[in-house]
This record gives sequence, C-alpha cells and structure tokens, in this order.
Amino acid sequence: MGEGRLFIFLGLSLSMAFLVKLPIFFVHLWLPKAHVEAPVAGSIILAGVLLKLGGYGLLCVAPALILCINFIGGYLIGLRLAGMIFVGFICLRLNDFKALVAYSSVAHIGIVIGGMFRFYYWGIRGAVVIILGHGLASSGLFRIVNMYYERLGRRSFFINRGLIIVLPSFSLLIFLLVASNIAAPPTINLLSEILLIGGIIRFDLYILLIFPLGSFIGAVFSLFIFSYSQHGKLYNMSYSVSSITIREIHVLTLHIIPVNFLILSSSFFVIIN
Amino acid sequence: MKIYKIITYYLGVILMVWGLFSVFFSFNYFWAGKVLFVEWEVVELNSSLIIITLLFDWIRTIFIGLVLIISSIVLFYRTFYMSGDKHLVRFIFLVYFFVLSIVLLILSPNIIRILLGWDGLGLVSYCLVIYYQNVKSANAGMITILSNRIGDVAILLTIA
Repeated sequence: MGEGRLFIFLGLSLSMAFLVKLPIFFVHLWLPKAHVEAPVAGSIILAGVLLKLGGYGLLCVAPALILCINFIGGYLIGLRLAGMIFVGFICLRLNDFKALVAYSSVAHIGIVIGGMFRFYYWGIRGAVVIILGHGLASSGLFRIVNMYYERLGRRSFFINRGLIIVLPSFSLLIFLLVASNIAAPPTINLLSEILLIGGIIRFDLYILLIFPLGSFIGAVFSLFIFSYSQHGKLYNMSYSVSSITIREIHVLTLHIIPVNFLILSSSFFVIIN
Repeated sequence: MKIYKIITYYLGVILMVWGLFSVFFSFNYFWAGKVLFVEWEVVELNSSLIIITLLFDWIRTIFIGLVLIISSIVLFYRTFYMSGDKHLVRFIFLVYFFVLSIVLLILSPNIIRILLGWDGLGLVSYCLVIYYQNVKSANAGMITILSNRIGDVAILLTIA
C-alpha cells in the first residue's frame, strides 16, 4: 500500500466520526429527521452542544490529522462548499420551520471543515468562534420556533404568518436571532466568518467564485424564516394565543446577549489555545 | 396621542441640535486643519490587527451633520404624515438605528468598520421597507436585503 493511500485511509478513519456528527454533506440526513422528531429541549441540546462536539473532536485529533491533510483536505473542503450550496437550495423550498432551522445549521456549521482542514491559524480560530456563535444562535432559533408552535399548534409556513400583529416582542427577538445567524454585525458569527474566509481563501483562489454563492443563499433562507413568519395575513383559526411571558423573554435574551456582546472580548477566542 | 407627538418632536430636536453641532465642528476642523483619530484594538492575532477606528475630519463631520438634520426633518414630518399609526416607538427606533449605522459607516476608515456600518444599514433598511404589512412591501424588502447581501459578501471577500 502506497504512503498516500495509507494517509487517505488514516485521515478518513480519524475524522469520519466527527464529520458525521458535524455534519458534512451526504451524511447530514440524520440531522433534520432527529430535529423534527425531537422535543424542544432535545433539539436545543442537539443544536447547541452535540453538533459542536464534532468540531471539538476535529480540534482534538488535529495533531494526528495534520499528516493526512494534504491528501484528504481538498476533497473535504470541496464537498463542504458544494454541500453548502445544495443544502441552501433544499432550504429554499422547505415549508417547515423546524426542518428549515435544522437544515440551516447543516449549511452554517459545516464551514468548520473549511477552516479546520487547511490548518491556518485564522481558520482554526474562526472554527472555534463559529462553534460558539452558531450554538447560541441556532438553539435560540429552535426555542423561538417552538414558542410559535406552542401557540399555533403547527410548524408550517402557511399557518405561522402575520405574527408581528399579535406577538410584536417576538418579532424583535426572532429578527436578532436571524441576523446573528446570517453573520450580521456585531455578532461573533461575523468575526468567525471573517476569520474563516481568511483561512479558506489560502486553499485556492477559485473559492472566491463559489463561496459567495453559498453565503448568499444562507442569508436568503435565514431571512425567509423572519419574513414568512412575521408578514402576510394572520392565520384565521388561531382565535386565541397566550401572551408573552417573562420566562420566554428571559430565555431568548440569554441567547441574544452573549452572541451580540462576546465580540467585545473577541481577542479571548483568538488567542486562547 | 398628544404625548407621542411631543416625544417625536423632542427626538427630532435632539437630532437637529446634534447635526448643527456637527456642522459647526466641521467648520472648526476645516479652518484649524485638525483631524481627530480614536483607535480601539479589538483583536490582535499574531501580526494582524483588527482595530476599530473613529476618524473625524471636516468632510466626515459635515456629512454626519447633513444626515442628522435630514433625519430630524423626517421625524418632524412623520408626526403629520403617519399620525394615525399605532407603532410609533418601532418606527422611531428604526429611524434611530438607521442613523446610527449611517454614522458608523461614515466614520470608518478601515474595511471592517465599513462592513459593520453597511450590514447594519442593510438590515435596518429591510425593517423600514417592510414596516407596512402587505405583500408588495414584503417583496420589496426581500429584494432590498438580498441586494444588500451581495454587497456584504463582496466586502467580506475584500477583507479576506
């Protein structure tokens, strides 16, 4: 067995467990199914902690993986960039809120692979920051989608409509969560996106052609979450919804405040080892 | 509704006074030839720095002054034009965030700060476009934010 082939097998077997958990495209199908069927606490733990263990595991095996990186890194980064666009197009025609948030986490968190498999300092630090930022933003989106589900009983786009009239405070909160999901300033997702682009761009300059398309589609379906739920005519059969409680505001604010204000101490994330 | 009208006038007067002060400072900077430069180091990563910088010179301050005066006129005009509207606080917050992100965009001498102002401008202008609840404004707002997003991604690529 040649040395190159040995390194390909070694690298794949070291990283495949974490790549499934991350998830990379082609093995992402467990994620939307699990999220759709799970209760809200389960999907928050899944989105906020469990998916991040994939990235953490890649960081842990990184010293062994650095030998194999010239043999498998290019394939994985290419697969990830193609998968970002494919998952984006899948997201554009979903009509289920929870499935959309789950697929959007596939499209957003997979960029960890792009940062991790080139072993530039910027890429690895950006991967750490996006693990944190996406954990906060995505779990907050799952929570607010479930709050709408508790009130209306459905998760469909065609029923969760016009909600800015009845629940205006949620409109602000879901807008902040969506904005942090599409890497708007001043969230730490923006910092991670800057660092990760800086890391990936050294792989090949032609990534400048394909990366913007994926990033743009990511913004499109994240904004669909906001636009479809807050606009349009109100669903007529929801004749009574409970008002907003302090507990729900508290839960969502504790997602929003860290993701917006951790950028003030962002040197902490990029220096720490 | 009376108290709301007073509040709107008061906020408009505040913006107008800020704008006039800014124009005054711009003349001051122009004649004295001064430039004010405030720097804050956010990230220091090996040898590359991410610095938040505020740069005040006469052309930026006079531009900020014009922006503030025009938006104060928007707030005055709003009291007649949208007087039957119920969501006054939302509109005023949106206008204020819009002005804030324009000011951040003007005061930025480096590209990361330009991205910060530009992205905030896109999001807040989306919120302003979809302020009324109908299908046409939702479509227009979606076109607005997506066109802005193209610019955002281009600025991100410029940083990288």
